[in-house]
Amino acid sequence: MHIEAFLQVLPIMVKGMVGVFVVMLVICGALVLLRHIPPQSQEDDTES
Amino acid sequence: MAELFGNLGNLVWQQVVMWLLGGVLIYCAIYKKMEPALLLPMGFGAILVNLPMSGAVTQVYHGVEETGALQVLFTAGIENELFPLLLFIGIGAMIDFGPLLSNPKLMLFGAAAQLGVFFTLGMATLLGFSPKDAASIAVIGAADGPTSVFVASFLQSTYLGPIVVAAYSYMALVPMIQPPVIRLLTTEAERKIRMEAAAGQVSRRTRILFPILVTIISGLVAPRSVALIGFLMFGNLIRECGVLGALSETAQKVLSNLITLLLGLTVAVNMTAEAFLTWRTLLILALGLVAFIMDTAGGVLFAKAINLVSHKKINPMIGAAGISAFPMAARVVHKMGQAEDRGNYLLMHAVGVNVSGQIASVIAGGFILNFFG
Repeated sequence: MHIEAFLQVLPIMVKGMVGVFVVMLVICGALVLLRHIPPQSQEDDTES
Repeated sequence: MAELFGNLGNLVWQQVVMWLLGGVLIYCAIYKKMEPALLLPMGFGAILVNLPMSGAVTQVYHGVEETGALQVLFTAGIENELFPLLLFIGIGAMIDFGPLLSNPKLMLFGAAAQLGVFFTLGMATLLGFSPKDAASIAVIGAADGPTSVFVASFLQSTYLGPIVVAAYSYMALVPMIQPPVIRLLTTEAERKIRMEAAAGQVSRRTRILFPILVTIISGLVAPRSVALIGFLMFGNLIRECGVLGALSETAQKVLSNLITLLLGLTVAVNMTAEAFLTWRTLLILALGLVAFIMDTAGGVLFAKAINLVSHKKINPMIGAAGISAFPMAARVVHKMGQAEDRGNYLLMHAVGVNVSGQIASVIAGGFILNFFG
């Protein structure tokens, strides 16, 4: 078992997981904001 | 006679084993309907490259090197990551993000289901794989074939063949891998939780701006993911813009089919007996399974954690759909929900989580490239 190599990669594992959550959270926030902007024309109207 | 049958002397038993393996892949594709578009070309490719002195791959004949056709395709389409990227345009054009856009918080479930990627990164490192090989193996957990091919070829992993076989095989085996893990982590009462249909409707503007926003946000944080996420979202923009119907249809059908055909055949270049038949291949297959199990567990446990703090209960099974394998994971969750309670319709929620997993898996692949590229 390569414990030393594992310990070196451990911070990357945590950073990667946190990074994916942060990006998805930001996209989620942007999406919520986007949905709150009222449509300006008929073309923007609800489609589905 | 010696000239006619001399090549038989070049045959080694390992090549025969690879023919059998190729046969198994073809059998699974045809009779078990397991990812047939990819496993069939891969199985046939495995036979092609394991014929003694096969002209499909580069060989030295009478002291002169002759480049094989599959090698040319490999250099042109996989070594430079072109095939997986083109395939992403088709996948993006196929995906309807509607269920996710009408319930944006489902985004987080896709993120949770990437646990398998980063867990497997640690396990592969622990087992002695080099950082780049461990990172490539970890991306099997993205449960997304083109991402696995892209990352493994970008990082020049020597295990591209086994990684792709594992990624596509386990994607096809999602209906067998996920249910026991879900049952183990949930109670019967949890599996019976009903969820209301998301009331939100999605405007055309939201559908058009979504792929652009996702590309910019993920590109700012993980620049190496731009090619991956960008091509996926470009495909989706073609679909949603409403003025490129013919291009959208071409991307969904012709482009996807053509690239899948070439990808499967070309990946087989890395399935020569000497490269494939090692104990490390078995290890990679085992690690791939671990990745899928941990992805499922990550999604389910995240949903259970949300239930601890939320008044509106979520059926934790939908977390498992964040595994990205689209649309099998969503179907598995819906079927399990129906088996517990016939009136429970989880499909739209599960599809929303499933497409969020598609985005999250590409972002996870982008982070892996950022760290190890």
